[in-house]
Amino acid sequence: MHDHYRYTYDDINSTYQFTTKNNISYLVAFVKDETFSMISSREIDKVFQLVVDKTTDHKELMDLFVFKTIEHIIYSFFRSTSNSLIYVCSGQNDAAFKRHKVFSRWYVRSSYRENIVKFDNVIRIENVVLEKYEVYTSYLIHKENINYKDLTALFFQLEDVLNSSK
Amino acid sequence: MLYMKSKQLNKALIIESITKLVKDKELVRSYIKGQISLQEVKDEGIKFARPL
Repeated sequence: MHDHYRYTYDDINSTYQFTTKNNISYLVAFVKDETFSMISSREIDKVFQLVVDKTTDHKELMDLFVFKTIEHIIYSFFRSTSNSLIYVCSGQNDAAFKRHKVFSRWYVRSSYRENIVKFDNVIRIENVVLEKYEVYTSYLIHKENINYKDLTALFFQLEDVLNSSK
Repeated sequence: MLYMKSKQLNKALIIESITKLVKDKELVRSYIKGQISLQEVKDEGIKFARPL
């Protein structure tokens, strides 16, 4: 018996999906991300943004199987060591910080952390109407990724340039 | 001077890329919640992947 929910890929919706014992549906999307390509001016593939959300706003009670299912999806994703993952949380209230903390807690409790390294950045952005907000970014990369040094350097460049005062 | 200009350009580019990253996530979340269609998401240049 599995310790996580069974998940499937839906070709029509282009997402992975699973339903909890409380009949709450989750969709998990991997979006091809071009952030590193944009800032380095060269094509960098196999970087994806992870988006996980419920299809409704129903409140989910603590369900360990949800964590285990996401853990299994991320573990499977990194069977290809050249894949890497960006997870972002943003907003002008503390909801973004709380989501970031949940993701970090999942990582700390995960079995894949033995081979997968997570880096965190907090990036401060000012939008066109001069409102400031913070973007909590996490980057997950396999220790055996052959481009490990280059990719992690690009990730830290995001914070270094934006948060520098000059 | 040239370095400062380069850094400013780099900063603008990074702001643009981070803004896109955040926007992409919000669009996908709206799609997951059924607020916008898959076609609308794709029209914004978002490419879904099946990496597993």
